[in-house]
Amino acid sequence: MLSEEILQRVKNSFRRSIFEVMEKMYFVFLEPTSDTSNGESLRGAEVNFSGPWEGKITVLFSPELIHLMINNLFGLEEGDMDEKIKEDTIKECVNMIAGSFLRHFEPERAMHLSIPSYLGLKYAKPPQGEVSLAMDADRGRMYAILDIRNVS
Amino acid sequence: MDKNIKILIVDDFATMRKVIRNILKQIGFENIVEAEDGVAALKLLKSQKIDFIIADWNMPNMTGLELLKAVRADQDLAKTPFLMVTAEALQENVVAAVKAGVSNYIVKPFTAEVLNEKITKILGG
Repeated sequence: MLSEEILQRVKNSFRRSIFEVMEKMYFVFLEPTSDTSNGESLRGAEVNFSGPWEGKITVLFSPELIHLMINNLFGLEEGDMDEKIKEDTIKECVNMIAGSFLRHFEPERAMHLSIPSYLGLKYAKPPQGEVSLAMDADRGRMYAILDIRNVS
Repeated sequence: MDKNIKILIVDDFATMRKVIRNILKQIGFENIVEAEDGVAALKLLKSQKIDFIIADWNMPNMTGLELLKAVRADQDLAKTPFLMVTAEALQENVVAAVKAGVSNYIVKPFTAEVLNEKITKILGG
């Protein structure tokens, strides 16, 4: 169980990392939302981390947001996006969010990130974690879920 | 700075290779080859002259750090400039890369300006 102070630091680092990656890499600007009643199929990826802290980061994206990210990154239209590019974009995005989170949260100690795993069309509704965030973009929505525990 | 040098991009994600390739083209580099992991990169390095390596840290089969060590241990390749791309940039990881002889590192997400700056710094242009 994390103390309130650490949990706040976790939340702040996680939120900051998501905004940083989405804005800098994909030119997507997010607004937090409390509405999680998304009925769409969500695709996502998860990354495990280990070290003095261990846990898992899962990020799920609606189809509209995936299209927006790829369009902003490569200028591709929806019809030109194959499954491979969608999967790669999602995995790389989650990898960057995880790396950025560890950098902000625990910059001085060695941590290890796993290779991201693709979750395909696994979720119709986002799962809940220690920290669960929902964010809206101009088009589409993303959910970010973080589980973390101290092992040192 | 010589824009005709041959640059090798090593990343397991095709999208990130494409992002880096696009940025390199914007900066003026046209001579670019790609490999999807460290093993494929080493094969390429043995078969053609590469002037500059840009490699991801976190890859399956052979990590960026393992590739860096292999390059530095090979007398034909040892002096090739090596820019490490990492999502983490944790202090201990950076120290490990510096000890292994990395030329510089860049943290994802990055902008075209930052990538250009890092390459310029390494090539001394």
